[in-house]
Amino acid sequence: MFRPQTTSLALAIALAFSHFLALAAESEATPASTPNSKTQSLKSVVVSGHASATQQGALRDDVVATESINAAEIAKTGATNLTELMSHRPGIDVQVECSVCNVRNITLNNLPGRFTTLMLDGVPIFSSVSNSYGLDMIGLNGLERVDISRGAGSSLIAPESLGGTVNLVTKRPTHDEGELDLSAGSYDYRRGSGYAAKTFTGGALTFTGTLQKQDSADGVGYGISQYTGYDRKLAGFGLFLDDVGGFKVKTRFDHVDEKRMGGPMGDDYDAVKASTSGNPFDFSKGPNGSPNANSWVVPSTGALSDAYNDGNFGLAQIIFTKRDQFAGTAEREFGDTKLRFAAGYARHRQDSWYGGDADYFGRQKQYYLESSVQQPVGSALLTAGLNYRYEDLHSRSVSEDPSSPTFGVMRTDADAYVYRTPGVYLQDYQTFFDKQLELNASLRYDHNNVYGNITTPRLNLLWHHSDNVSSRFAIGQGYRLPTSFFELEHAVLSAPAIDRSGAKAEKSNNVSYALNYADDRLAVTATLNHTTIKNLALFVDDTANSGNYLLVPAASNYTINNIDVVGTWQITPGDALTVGAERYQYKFKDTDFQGSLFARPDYRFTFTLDHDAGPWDLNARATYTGPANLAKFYDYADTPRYNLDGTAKRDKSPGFWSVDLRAAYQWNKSVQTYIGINNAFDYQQAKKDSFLWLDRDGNIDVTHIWGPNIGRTVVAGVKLTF
Amino acid sequence: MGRAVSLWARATGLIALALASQLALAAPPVMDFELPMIDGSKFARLADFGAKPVLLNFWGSECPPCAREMPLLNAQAQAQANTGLTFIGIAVDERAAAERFLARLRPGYLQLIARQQPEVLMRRFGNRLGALPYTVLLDAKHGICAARVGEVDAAWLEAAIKACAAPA
Repeated sequence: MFRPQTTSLALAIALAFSHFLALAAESEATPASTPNSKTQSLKSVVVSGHASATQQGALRDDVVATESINAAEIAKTGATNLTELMSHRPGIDVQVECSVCNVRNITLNNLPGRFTTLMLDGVPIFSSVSNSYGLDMIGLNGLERVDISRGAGSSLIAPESLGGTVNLVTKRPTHDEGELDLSAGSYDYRRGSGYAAKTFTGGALTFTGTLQKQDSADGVGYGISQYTGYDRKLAGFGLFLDDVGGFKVKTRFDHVDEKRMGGPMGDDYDAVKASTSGNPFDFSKGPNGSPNANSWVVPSTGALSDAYNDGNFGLAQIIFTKRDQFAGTAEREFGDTKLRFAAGYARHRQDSWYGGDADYFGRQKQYYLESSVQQPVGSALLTAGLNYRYEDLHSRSVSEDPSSPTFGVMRTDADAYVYRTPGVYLQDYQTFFDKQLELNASLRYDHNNVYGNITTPRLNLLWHHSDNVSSRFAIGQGYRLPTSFFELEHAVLSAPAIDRSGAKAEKSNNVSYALNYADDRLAVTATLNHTTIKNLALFVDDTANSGNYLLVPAASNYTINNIDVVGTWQITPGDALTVGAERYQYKFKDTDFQGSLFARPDYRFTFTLDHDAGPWDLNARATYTGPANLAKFYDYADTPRYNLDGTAKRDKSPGFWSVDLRAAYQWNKSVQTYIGINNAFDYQQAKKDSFLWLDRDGNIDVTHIWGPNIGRTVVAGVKLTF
Repeated sequence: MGRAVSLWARATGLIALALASQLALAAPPVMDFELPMIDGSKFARLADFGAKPVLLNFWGSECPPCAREMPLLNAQAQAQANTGLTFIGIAVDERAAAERFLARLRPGYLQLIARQQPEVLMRRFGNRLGALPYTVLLDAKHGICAARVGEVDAAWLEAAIKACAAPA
């Protein structure tokens, strides 16, 4: 099998670059265009701004259906990180995958979160490891906007985005500015966040920093957290240079340092690790609680289990994360030709202590290199590019599970992998019928060192029915290389090995259609999506036979059809109403997925009222989440779930409302105060249906999730702008 | 409930398609707008300015050429105060950022804000690129007389005003 070496790839990229540079030398610089968007040359004028759709229901002026959230909209939500920002938008949500560790993923079209590709300024530098805990650590300071595109192949450079892409676009400052945001709130929430920008001739520097902490939350008195406490530190630098040999350069570096603990309450990590016996919890609390505080009912026998005796240790998850990441782009235009280079680097270190499972230390590195050239050829605008992605994972782990054959044994690289994926792509953009029809067709070819050759095509069409009405149609494929990190199953760390010999690349087929109407006071978009995932990766416990965990493709496809409609109406000059509705149809054979899919709701409605006039900015958001078919998603047929009193878990989750309120008052041009109330009516899943569940044999788990894991929280703060 | 939602989804789809069909067949766009004043006090329509020439300047707070050209536009707005030519700024921006920008530059003419999907508005007034800054002069019938993508200079502005807004 052909296995490209790093050196040969570097040579190939160097050759490609040298071609571009030779071409550059022959050309004269004039302003031109942007990739992946409609383009037209502008000569002899200075243009440095671009209109941007910002309200829900509005789309950016791109062939690919893309919605944006800009800095002001981010502020209105009160979100402090990416996962908080992504909640409660039609077609977009955040899935909590673990009640005690709060792994949170961004889901697009309700597909599993690992199918969402996150990018920094168009550079894909996140992986399954960083998606697990890293998304909470992506600050929102210094951003111009966040672009969201749904559907497979929504990005030319990120074929693994089976669900779609979320691209964080860093703001290039145009003047000196600074912002300091200090806030405090429920569960001892404390946050200080700063942003500073200094411009100079031909460039700018930025600094961002955040200190943020919050205690864990237990809504029902188990003594077991449903919301994980954390202590988070972020720092970032940006450098923007307008002319480096004719290239416009944009770079950012971010450092993250976070500690979090779930399970036992508090933040005394050492004390929790030392507590290895007795029962500090109360299993009789909450709905369908056990009749006994120290044990629970074993469903298969109806008798009480042995008393819990693993101390705080048994349910603790303590995760320390450190991450450094860099993303940079350089772009230059030569007449009608445009060159782009991009590079990314990430180093992710995770020290995780899963009491009862394993003590795990993982290291991951990622590199990304890209070069592309965009050139008009006849009536076509062609973009050709090369990119190279490197991703590895190395780990050390010691099983903490006394029943495991590897108990107490230090293992190295139990879940390790190394992926090298060079790829080439070609995109053709054309317009027809006096630009009424825009076409964007592309083809990618990638070669992965494990999964071989993968080809992914896509086609996007944009039809302008009129100035106000447009249709976007997309059909495409994507693929993702399955990873063996514990994203699907923590218990893999207790198995002697992971057998990946049967694994296949996860592939998707997607068809989507978006109808957009916009005028000066109303923007509405209706979207239809059909996505089928083939070879969805599963971890299968084969310890009874081979002794290993198997990474294998699901035996059948996972299909989601969905429709959503969202629109914003400017009711008065200062008041806007946003209404959204989404409906999902899930098609899969539950026994083939063995409960590995997290339950998603059948439908959802969102209502947002925004008052933005004079010194006041008031925002109220209500979301109704419909029921989720828990029995199907969690495969009750094979693995029925039980409450701590031995009764069966409900087959469907109930529908519920959550309401968020926020008020900000601008005292003068520099000082704003604000207060936010999230989950104002204090709806918590734990008060209706415990996150804890038992299997037939009485083994306890923490992943029965369908609703909010923290109740009402209040945050108040002051924002100083300089 | 699920059945009701399913019916609702189908009905919504049909309504959306019907709406699209109707709108697709709609008459050519009328040269008008209805935009909020930047302070959120009221809506303003182009038709409110009667049969007089109008200069529209689209700008954004993160756009240096927009800031550079604004003093020139402000000076011209004052110079043209008694000629019947109305200057209107349209912020393609969020209100807070736009207000900070205006507090710095203090133009004396009317300022509106376009927040919904501004590409549509700009396309209506001849800016298919959606680029900023963009300045368009409308004649007394509110037809496009002159337009410029990018920073305006005094020579262009004076020539455009002379061509489009000079008294008959």
